Amino acid sequence: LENRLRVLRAERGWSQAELGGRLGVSRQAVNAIETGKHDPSLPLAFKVARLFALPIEEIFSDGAESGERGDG
Amino acid sequence: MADTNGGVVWRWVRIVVLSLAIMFLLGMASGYVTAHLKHGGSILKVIGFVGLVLAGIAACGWIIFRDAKALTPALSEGEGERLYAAQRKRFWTILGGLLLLGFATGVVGSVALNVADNGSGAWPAWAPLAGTIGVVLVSIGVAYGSWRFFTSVDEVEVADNLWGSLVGFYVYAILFPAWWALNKLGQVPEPNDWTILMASMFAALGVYFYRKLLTA
Repeated sequence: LENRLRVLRAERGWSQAELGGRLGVSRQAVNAIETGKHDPSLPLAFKVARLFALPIEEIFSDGAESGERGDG
Repeated sequence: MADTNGGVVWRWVRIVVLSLAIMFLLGMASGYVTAHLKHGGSILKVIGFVGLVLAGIAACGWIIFRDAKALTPALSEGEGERLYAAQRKRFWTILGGLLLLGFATGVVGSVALNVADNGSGAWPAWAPLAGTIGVVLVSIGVAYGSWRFFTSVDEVEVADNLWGSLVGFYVYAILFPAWWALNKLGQVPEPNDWTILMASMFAALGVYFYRKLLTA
């Protein structure tokens, strides 16, 4: 799963701890999601989407679209 | 100045090593105190030894605290960071409480049980009931603390615990039958409960800390 979490967080000038606090998860959890070491559960993904006021698919993607673009 | 990636890993390694050192010191202290009291040794020597061990534990604890503090990012006044700080405090309070309960049980239990029989191999009449009450209370305390812990942590912490537990369980499920079968074939001595338990626990902890290092 790919995501834009780091970019969205940087745009708001938030630290990983700040985002973790707002989501109710640890800084390590934010780091694990940003670096692709942990795929968030659906409830957490929805929470992230609500926090950034964006549709889930604008934050998370399975890489298929970029793969298809790269192939084409 | 912020730590480099190597610095962060080094601090985590030091935290793990010093935590093991504290456990070693506690084990050594309980063994020494037990042996000393059993053989009617001087109480002053015991106090002096325990004082030295406590000083060693305090020194290790201070370095662990300093490293843990350095690993915690400096927080600004953001709403999320205040929530995060409260969340971390809750996490370490519960975990610290559980660790303290485990250490206290191990040290007090081993010294009390060994001193109670006074080297005779037979415990006094009060020991079984007192011990049973202690075991029940500690079991309830650990179950309650674990429940509090798992209802307050996030999904990454739960996943780390689940992976650790899964690997620990597999080590147990493979090691015990293999050992049992080899024993039946006359190749090895009878399976040892404590060796199998410790192997399972070390495997579980190894996987847990490996995953922690990956996301540090």
